Amino acid sequence: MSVRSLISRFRGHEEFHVDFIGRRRLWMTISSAAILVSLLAILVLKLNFGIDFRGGAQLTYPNRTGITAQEVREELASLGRADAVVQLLNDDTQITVRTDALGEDRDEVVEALAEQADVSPAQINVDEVGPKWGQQISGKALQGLLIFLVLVSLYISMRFEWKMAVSAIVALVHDLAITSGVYALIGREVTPETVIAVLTILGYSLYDTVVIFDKIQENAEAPGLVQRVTFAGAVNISLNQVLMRSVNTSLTSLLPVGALLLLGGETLKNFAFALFVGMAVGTYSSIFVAAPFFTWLKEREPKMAQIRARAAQRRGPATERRLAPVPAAAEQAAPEPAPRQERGSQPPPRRPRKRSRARRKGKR
Amino acid sequence: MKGAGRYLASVVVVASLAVAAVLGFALANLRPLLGLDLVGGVSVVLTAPEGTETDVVDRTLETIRSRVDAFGVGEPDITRQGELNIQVQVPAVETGTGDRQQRLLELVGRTAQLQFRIVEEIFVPGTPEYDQAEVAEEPSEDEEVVLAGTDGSLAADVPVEERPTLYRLGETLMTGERLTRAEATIDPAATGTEGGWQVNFELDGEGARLFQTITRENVGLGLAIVLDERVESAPTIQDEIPGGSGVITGNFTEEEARDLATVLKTGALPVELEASQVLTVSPTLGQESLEQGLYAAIVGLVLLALYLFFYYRLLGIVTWFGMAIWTILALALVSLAGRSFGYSLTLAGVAGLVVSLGITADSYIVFYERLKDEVRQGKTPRSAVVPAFRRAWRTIVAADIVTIMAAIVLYLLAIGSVRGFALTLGLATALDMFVVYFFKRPAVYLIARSRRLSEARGLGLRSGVAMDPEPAPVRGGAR
Repeated sequence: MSVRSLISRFRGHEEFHVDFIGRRRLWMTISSAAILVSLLAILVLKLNFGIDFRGGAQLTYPNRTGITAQEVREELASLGRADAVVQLLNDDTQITVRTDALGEDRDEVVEALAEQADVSPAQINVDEVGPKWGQQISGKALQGLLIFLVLVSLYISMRFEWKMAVSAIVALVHDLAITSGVYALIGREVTPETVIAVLTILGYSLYDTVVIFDKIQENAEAPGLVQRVTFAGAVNISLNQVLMRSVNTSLTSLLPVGALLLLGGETLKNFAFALFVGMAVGTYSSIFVAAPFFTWLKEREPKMAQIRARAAQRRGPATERRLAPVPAAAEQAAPEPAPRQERGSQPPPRRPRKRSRARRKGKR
Repeated sequence: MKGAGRYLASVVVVASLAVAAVLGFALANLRPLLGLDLVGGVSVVLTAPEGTETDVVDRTLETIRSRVDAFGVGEPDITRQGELNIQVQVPAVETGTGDRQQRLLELVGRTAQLQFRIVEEIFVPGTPEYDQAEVAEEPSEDEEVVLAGTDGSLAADVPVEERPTLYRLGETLMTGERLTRAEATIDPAATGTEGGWQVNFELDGEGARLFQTITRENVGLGLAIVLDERVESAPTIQDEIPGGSGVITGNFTEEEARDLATVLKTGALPVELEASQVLTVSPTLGQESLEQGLYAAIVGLVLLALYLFFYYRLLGIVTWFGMAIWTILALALVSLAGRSFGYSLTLAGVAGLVVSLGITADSYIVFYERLKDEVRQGKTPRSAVVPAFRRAWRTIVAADIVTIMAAIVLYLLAIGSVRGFALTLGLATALDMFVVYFFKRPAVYLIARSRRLSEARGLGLRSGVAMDPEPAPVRGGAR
């Protein structure tokens, strides 16, 4: 595919003709492998939970006098906190100390550190957390999540059909597993911000899936289309039609999040990282997991199997498996929009475009 | 033309709403209330024991509120989170720094259960009796208990000379509920020393009678004043005390005495609370986070605007206006939420806004891509916009409802920062539907009706929905 043709497709002069459904085994292999790696990472490397989940205290303060982590450690050791973890961040301008809960030693520790770093005690930020707080936050979030999933499944079942609800949840679990896996793999700390980010990913993943299912439903209801191109074919047409929407939406969603990731402060970075991973995976899963899974569920229906068998007879068994192009399949599929060009993995290179342009001119 | 008039009216009304909001920001000092992670301050989450009933937690919350009020903090944000948690948030400008912050922390979490019991035996550290005595873990009011004084530490590895005196005490004869007044005063007996403050209290009618009886029947014995399971002082009763007033001495500093008077006046907390999270943020860090967040948001928005213009041309500009209006109205809603029920915008809330930014951008993209579909089918822009919007609207509503549902469930159930996130996400997504229907739809309809706007080469609607004959590398502009 030439660059120019790629750009013209990107701009929307032409539709894409990617055989998403025909290669579903490939997507399934990729996704299963990713999930497997994620699960292994979670089991072997474990998630790195921050103090909000384990309980303890975290002190953050500016380092203006250039003291070293070792000096801070020694100071803490003299206060009976030899096992405190000291880190210098942001080019050594910020000191972060993690230690057991401060309790009654609070004043003493804060003042000693403030004096050492030559800052006022008020400039020392303290986050002290009881061991149950993180569990409470995540417990509540989990409870909310379950209720939400039930509601959303009901909603999708009513608005669309239950098979779509199941597929959307499958894609969701896929996204969650992979996002957690990425966290385990690179050992990033899991904070309450991460929990929020994960909830966002859920919302986003479902949102994206619903947009795509809406399109599939529309094409599946278009008179005669499924009969001609089989259900899988109709899904494939839908995916190609919404492809640019997906690309554009992920770009526009990822731009602000990417800015947060690169320019935001520590807290925002944590948040943006999970979002960035989750949104990317969420966009992928709507097209490559939810839709193929739904197709698979749908094609098991006797009616759809019949249509598929008939289509296979018409074209011979070899083409059936690859869902090969159905030339001019949707030409009469009006009133609902359906692409009128051939589709499939390998469109004949140039001729059809000229034809379509000529036709557009004629209509003007 | 009737239709055009209606569309124009809709665009104008929505735009005026945004203008009104801007005027509100400029003239009526309408501002989002910023959370303390953005302005600095103290946040404490206190958790009641498992199984505490909600109304008990609510009563506890009210007691804490009156304590914080008495401490002299203007507008504390005190809310119940979930069933068992009480969150107290006080911005740095209110708390001041250092000592005062620390005092506030102690003040809110203190149970302040006051009891009067008769001393039956005193154990001095170092004696064999002392070593045998065991301090009660959960002292009952109706039984004899052993409690420690405040003159030493109960920690395990403390040397003998730093251990507190222990007291064996009789059952509770009276509690702090009978107190009507408490006041810090200078202890006349201890002037000149560092402590030297005491707390005078007065009892209500029944308390006064009770106190008189207790003192009459126990002349010569010690009367222990027990505060939160520690013996604050145990003066010997010299004589019957009528009139219902007394004094708690304990070599307090002025601040200690004042805080003690405050907690006694506002009453004991009905349950003992455990601090789940104590967070202090310095104003500098808050400021930094806010600036970084804003900076990132602006850069993100500019990139987004450029991309949308490159891709959709004139329609991209409609998006600029639509998203600007959305941003202004979203900030106005958050500000109003701050004014009406004290909602403060935290970093998590900002995150909710950033996420809904993506959602609102998507609403435009869904519509425009739909328009492209229709146009590819051979419709003219003018005839394509109405069916394209009708279909896109269905998609937008279906997808937005899922997000709003998530926001509502999270808002109702979640605790901590998740709630702030859910509120902005829900509000902003609902607002998105409003702006899409009442601004974007009529604006695009109007453009589609105007020949000049839709035909402008390389810029107009035809170009935005990829109707320009392609390729047009020389005159067509960006490609």
